[in-house]
Amino acid sequence: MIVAFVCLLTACSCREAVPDYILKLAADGESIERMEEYEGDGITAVYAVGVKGKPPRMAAQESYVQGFNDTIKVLVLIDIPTGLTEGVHILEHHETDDYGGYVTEEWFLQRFAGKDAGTRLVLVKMAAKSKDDIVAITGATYTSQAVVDAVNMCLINYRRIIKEVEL
Amino acid sequence: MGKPVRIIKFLALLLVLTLAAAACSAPAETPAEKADPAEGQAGGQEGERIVISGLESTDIEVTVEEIKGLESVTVEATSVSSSGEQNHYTVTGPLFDDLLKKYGKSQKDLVGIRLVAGDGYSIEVPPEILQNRELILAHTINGKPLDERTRPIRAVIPEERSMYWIRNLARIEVLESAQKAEVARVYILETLISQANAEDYTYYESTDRAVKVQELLGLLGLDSMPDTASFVAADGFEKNEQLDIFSKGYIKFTGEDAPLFLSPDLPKGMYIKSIYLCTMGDAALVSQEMAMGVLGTKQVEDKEGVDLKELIKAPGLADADKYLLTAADGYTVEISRDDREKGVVFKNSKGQITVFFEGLPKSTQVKDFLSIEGIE
Repeated sequence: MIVAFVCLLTACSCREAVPDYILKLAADGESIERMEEYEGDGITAVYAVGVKGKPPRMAAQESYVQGFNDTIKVLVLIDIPTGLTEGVHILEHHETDDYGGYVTEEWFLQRFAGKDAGTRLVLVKMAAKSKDDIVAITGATYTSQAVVDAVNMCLINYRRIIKEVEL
Repeated sequence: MGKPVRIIKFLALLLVLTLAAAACSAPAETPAEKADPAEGQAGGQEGERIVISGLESTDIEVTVEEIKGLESVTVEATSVSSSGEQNHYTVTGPLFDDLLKKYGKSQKDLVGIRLVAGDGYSIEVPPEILQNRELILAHTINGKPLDERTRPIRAVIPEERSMYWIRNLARIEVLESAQKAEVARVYILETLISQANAEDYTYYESTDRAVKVQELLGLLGLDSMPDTASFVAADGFEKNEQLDIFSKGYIKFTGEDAPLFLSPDLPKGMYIKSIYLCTMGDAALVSQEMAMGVLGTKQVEDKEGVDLKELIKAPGLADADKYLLTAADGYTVEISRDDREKGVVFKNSKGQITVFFEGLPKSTQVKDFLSIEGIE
């Protein structure tokens, strides 16, 4: 799998300029490669981050979902060696300040950290009962569900990438 | 087969095809039929209506066309959010009062109405507002038709809190005059809550503790359930809520905005922050902590708390010659009317709400003070 992933990483080329927030993910000596064949159906960009010629250490995926007011653009980072989510970031949103606007708050985004990429996250309203539960932002269920949907979409896509690379 | 027969068959087939084509070209679903009322769809579309109940023996359905056909006013209106933020709008629509006139009523004569949105959000508008403010059934805001989530009508009460500006108005309930029951027993909210099963409730970034209102109601053991619960918040905000809505929620008693009425199934605009007083029928629940801010404090020896006399007076507990104080464990103490002003209600070092009487025997002290009522 690793060999195949390395080949994939090496073979990829970027037709568009890589955004700054993606470039910042690469440490010294690392490069970023776009994996366009894994884009589509709400996933607008997929990148592999790592040292060229070595297995990538991170998958970065951008997805668009419909929020309460308008679309929300989400960046989902997955640590490849552990298969856990490393971070979720909101790249763009138009939600109302008093409600879904809390979507960019670190305390909400932290709820997505360290989740197993092999699972499906579930939105809950009051308190998390299992490790796959994500507690909604108070009073902003639509927005919260949208972000959970976006992350789940990226987790499914990540599993597809891993599976196909294994083949 | 003869030629005339074939012509007849051809014409018959043509007729069938024509009818079929006509049927296919009619919309299978009109937008109004497709619309989910909860999603706030379809303003001004044919067949849309709001329901007015309580005016006559049966519900009245008023179409949006009818509403738009009434004379409209255009006003510069300001809404005030719960945080005090003001927003200014140019609002156009007929006055609710003009709609009422069609049914021989006047807004000023109503004792209360409840505005209900398509998503279930609802709020009661008290008589003070109905008598002093205009209620506009807005169909245009800032010169533009209402957006998808706001259509078909937005209730607007200029210069009032934004909680009264109801998007996607679905129903207006005209309320009957309710006889306000005299308060017979005052409960200390903190002690009552301590008797219930608490659970985690995530509120924004913090995990706080909350109890089910239904369980609190069970602990009160009210003889009869009133229709509404009346709230006063520490900042003076007043609100009535239907008991069937209140009973499905929670009281969050730790963290920000506590005591806070909320529910995962209610829009945030229906939450009630910093509850100081809640009256249901002849029972009143008072938060000792909030009362310290609202009623002020008094110091007795090293104990700082609320004056018991004030705590009795504020919720409207009827005057009595004697009062019975009850603790959560059932311990009771009887005091005279004159002893009321010797009492201070404070939180002891264990966090228990306690009543202490200056100059009275120690046995009159009530820890985990649950309630007080007048006795013969």
